[in-house]
Amino acid sequence: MEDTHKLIRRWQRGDSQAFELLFLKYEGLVFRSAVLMTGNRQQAEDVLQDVFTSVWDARGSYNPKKAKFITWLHRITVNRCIDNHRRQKLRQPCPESDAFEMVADSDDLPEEEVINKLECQRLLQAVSRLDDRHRPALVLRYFHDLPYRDIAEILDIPLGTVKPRIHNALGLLRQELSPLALDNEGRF
Amino acid sequence: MECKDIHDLLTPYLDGELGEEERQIVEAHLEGCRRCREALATTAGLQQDLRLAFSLEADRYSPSPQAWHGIRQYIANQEPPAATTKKRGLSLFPFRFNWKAGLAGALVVAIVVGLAATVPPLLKHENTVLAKAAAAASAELESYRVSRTTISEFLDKPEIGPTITNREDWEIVLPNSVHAIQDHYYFSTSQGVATIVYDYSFEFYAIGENLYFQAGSRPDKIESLMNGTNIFSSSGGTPTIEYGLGILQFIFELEQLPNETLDGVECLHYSGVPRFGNIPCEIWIGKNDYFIRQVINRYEDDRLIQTFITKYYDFNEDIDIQPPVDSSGSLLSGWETESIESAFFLVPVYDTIADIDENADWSNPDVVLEALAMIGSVTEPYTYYQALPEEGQQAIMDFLKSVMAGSVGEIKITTTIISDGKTTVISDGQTTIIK
Repeated sequence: MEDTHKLIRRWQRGDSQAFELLFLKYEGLVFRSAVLMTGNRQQAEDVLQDVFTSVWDARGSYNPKKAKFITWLHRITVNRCIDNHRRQKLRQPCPESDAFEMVADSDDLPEEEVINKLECQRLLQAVSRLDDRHRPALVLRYFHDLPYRDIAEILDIPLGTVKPRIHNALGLLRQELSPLALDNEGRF
Repeated sequence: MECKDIHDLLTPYLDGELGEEERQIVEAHLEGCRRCREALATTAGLQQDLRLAFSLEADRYSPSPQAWHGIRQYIANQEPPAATTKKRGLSLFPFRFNWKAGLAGALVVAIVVGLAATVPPLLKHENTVLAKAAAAASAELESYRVSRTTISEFLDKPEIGPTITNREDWEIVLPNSVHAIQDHYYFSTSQGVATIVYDYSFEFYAIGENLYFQAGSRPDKIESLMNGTNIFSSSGGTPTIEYGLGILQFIFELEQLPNETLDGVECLHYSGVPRFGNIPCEIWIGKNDYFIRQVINRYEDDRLIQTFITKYYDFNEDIDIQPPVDSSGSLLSGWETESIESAFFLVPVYDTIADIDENADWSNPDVVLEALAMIGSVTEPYTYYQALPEEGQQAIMDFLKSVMAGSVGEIKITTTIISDGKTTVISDGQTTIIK
């Protein structure tokens, strides 16, 4: 496969074929990040389009010496997810996370698999209730497995802030998962 | 340090983000403090659960094949098209090769092993046996069954167990009816992490234009199974006479072994090493009908041994593949249906072959990438592959070989074992029981 650096240079010169190859290479990463950060497949589709149209627009301003392409792409993805999430909140105060409804069609699954899925669903829904500062940090750390240094760069925060950010995010998650966090409809 | 201070350090400690001095302080404290050890276990469990939930959730979805179209439209509206001429492009076709899956470890092994079974055109071959077979090629293959067993052994992951065995059973009535059952486990790769979910099984039918699948299983999983077992896999190609014998010219160091009888059928028996890689294979071909009867591929490196045993049988038996509907034509409970076109986004192969550029520059990686995307997107990938010029076929082989060489060995394994109502997750030697 063509060297990513070459593709980046070609894309920066306005070569849409190279851009398509970059898209092919990174669309899965962006889309899955967006699914986990927005909790909604349709929003993730929107984010995917937003991210890559932004990337196309920014081909003249991206500086490979300042940030690795993938780090820069993560940053745009996080920002678009946050923008999207805010817009959705304005439109619909309590959006339901369709992507996290894993058990809707699970009537025929073995009981233990349903339990497993329920656990995952509960956890993902708790993640979706975290705020825009904590949710992306968890996805970057525990889905993308990124080191704190990269997370700091993506979130544009000091390295020293990443430690408490992730620690607090896990703490908030534990609170969300505790039985006391049941809302008045008995729903987690 | 007091417990509260230590608590604040547990997350970065588990994430491997503490400096040496802090790490030693935490470890010294943990040795003497049961409460902090419990807190550590709780945090580790939550991290593990998050990883599993994220991974399973992310694996459920793929971007819409339409996504690129929207972006391309955006670019087109902004400025005139680039000066480069595009003979034929990915953008003509809605399906895209799944690089994430394609580049990740064992799946690539499966693809490459399988590609060993892909056959170049028979016509060039002058072997006497092949010439004889070509003369006899009028025998029509109408139906057959395939079973494929994959035995995987992760040498550096003894906690997974000695081996993992997966079995798929296929019934095929040509030209366009398939019934398949996959048993036991589902193996997926994401972010360089392989996830093995035991007790994952499903069944589906692809009949004419329609796909029928069990509620709960998803078309994308079926698609990946079909792609994996269609052409890029040893069980993939239709085991016609041409296929059965054409495979031989694809093998170095071809050695004919004494004939063997498989299930009462006398077979020609060959062994050798496919044109690339070091994936020895053995092939059994019916002595009288020249149908391929069995292929065994074995992949081995210092971390993974995989054996693929593919058996073809019941040739031209009366196999009846009917959709899961009752006498009134209504779907049986628990089944769903969708058109294959919408589920898989496959492109009719004959629409695309005419577009193949005989003079394409196969030293250009874009051209190879484009062809691979096409192979992944057409209804009959092998037919497409065969239609490519020889240089193109070789370039694809070389590409897949390089992908395999670059990716295997970096894979991390997370295993989920569901049994007795408990979910056990094993990752890098650490075991967590979720419930």
